[in-house]
Amino acid sequence: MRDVKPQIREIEMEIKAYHYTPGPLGLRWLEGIKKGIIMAAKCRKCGNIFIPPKIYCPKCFSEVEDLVELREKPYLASYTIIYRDFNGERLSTPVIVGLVRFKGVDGGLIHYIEGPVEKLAIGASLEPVFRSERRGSITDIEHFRLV
Amino acid sequence: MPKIALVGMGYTGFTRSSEHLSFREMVYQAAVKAYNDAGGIDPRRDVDAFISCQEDFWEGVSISDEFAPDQLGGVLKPVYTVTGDGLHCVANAYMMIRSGVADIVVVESHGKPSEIISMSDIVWFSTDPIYVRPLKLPNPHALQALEARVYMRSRGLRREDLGLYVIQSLGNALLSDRAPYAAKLDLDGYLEAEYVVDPLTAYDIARYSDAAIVAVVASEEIARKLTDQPVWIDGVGWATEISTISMRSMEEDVATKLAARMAYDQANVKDPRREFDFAEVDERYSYKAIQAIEALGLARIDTVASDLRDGSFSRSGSLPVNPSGGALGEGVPLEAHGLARLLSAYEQLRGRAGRAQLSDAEKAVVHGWRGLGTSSSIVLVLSR
Ligand SMILES: [Zn+2]
Repeated sequence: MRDVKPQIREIEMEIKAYHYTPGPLGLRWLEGIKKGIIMAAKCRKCGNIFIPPKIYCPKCFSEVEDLVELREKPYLASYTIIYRDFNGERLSTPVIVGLVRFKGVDGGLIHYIEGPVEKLAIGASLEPVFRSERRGSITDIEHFRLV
Repeated sequence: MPKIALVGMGYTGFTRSSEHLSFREMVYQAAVKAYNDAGGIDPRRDVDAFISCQEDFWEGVSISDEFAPDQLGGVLKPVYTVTGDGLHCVANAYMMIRSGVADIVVVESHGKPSEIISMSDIVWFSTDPIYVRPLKLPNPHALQALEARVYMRSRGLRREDLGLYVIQSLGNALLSDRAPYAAKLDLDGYLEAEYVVDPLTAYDIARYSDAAIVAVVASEEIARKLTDQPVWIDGVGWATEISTISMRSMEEDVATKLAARMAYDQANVKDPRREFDFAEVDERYSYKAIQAIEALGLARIDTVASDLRDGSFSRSGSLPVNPSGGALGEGVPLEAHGLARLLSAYEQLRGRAGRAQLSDAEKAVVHGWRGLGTSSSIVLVLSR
């Protein structure tokens, strides 16, 4: 009887229809990204500087109000090359994904990495490449380039 | 203080798919077996409370916990759902009994991933909607690969070392009746595999399977009435690191370390390497199992790689890990995976592990993790 398929096999759900609130610091952070600036949250109480920004300090639980601009170049804290998708299908072009961190900053950003493969290494220096048309999203950064 | 015991377990599935039964019917079958195993208890009469570990998105039903009672025999009784690994249910049962609100509690977890058509989307839907999800990475396993690279680098683990772990675990799984992906593999075969998300190949990433598992947890007094072979829960601990992936340490499994400390304190475990006869750990990824072995205190940071190469964690080693296989051979039945580890430990401690039985099995540590992208771990100490 195994070939008797259940009658209701698949129902599409509108699971992706949500609004997500980035919060006051997140909004300012995304506005910074729109201007081509990467900032980090800074806790007045314990001095913790961190991204992604939140209004609560993950270290000391204080309320956080400030963002500071990160002027130094970030570095590659880890990376992977994706060759196949979740279902095992080979990608036409493998993509590099990295954990992008900034010196002295807790956390970081997960993002696409591009550039010469011989420079692909933990600790490699990076610079953000912004899209010309930006709308205040993490994807306003097209990728981080190995330099 | 009175002790708390596992007195019965039952399962169904561990197949790649199970189309003929709904997941609730699978739970029913597992429950019937668990109640028989627990000396033939009647859930309508004998059980004080029921706990289910499940997630709405896996079920495809919102507020799916409302559907939990019927298939367990829990209608008109205290029932609640924990969104966590199945072992989190056991921790809750332990607390209910310890606090005196119940003497006998049933826990269940199940997973039927073969029904989930948009698995990749649902997994990706669990990531941060503002800072991660818009990136639409083609494979969410990449998030774990980032951690794998940092961990392997910090411990001097090479690709061959992951291969050793995989070969051992898939081989152990050949001794199990619950392992559809068990295989005899050699190092050449492992190294031939292409990367899926470098440094992980398809061998390093556990696949899915369908299963339902039910356990009966009881106070010492009830346990001694129901069975001659109670399996004592000597300690439970759990912890979560931090939700933001980029803020995690990656060099070590902090959550498992903290969870182990909590459980070991209760169970008075001082020297985990010597005191346990075997360990059951989450191995949704090969590297993650090695990281867990270390975080559980079963290997030192500086020797975990050499211990692995020496075969310390093989069936004949000083501390067998997943002696009847783990997620790589069994597949991952979603939230039920932790209960699968518990089931293997339970069988070993009762001397009922069949071909996988170890000669020495008196005390074990059982570990669970919530899987891709999560940092929640849970640890149980068991003895017979
Ligand atoms: Zn702070």
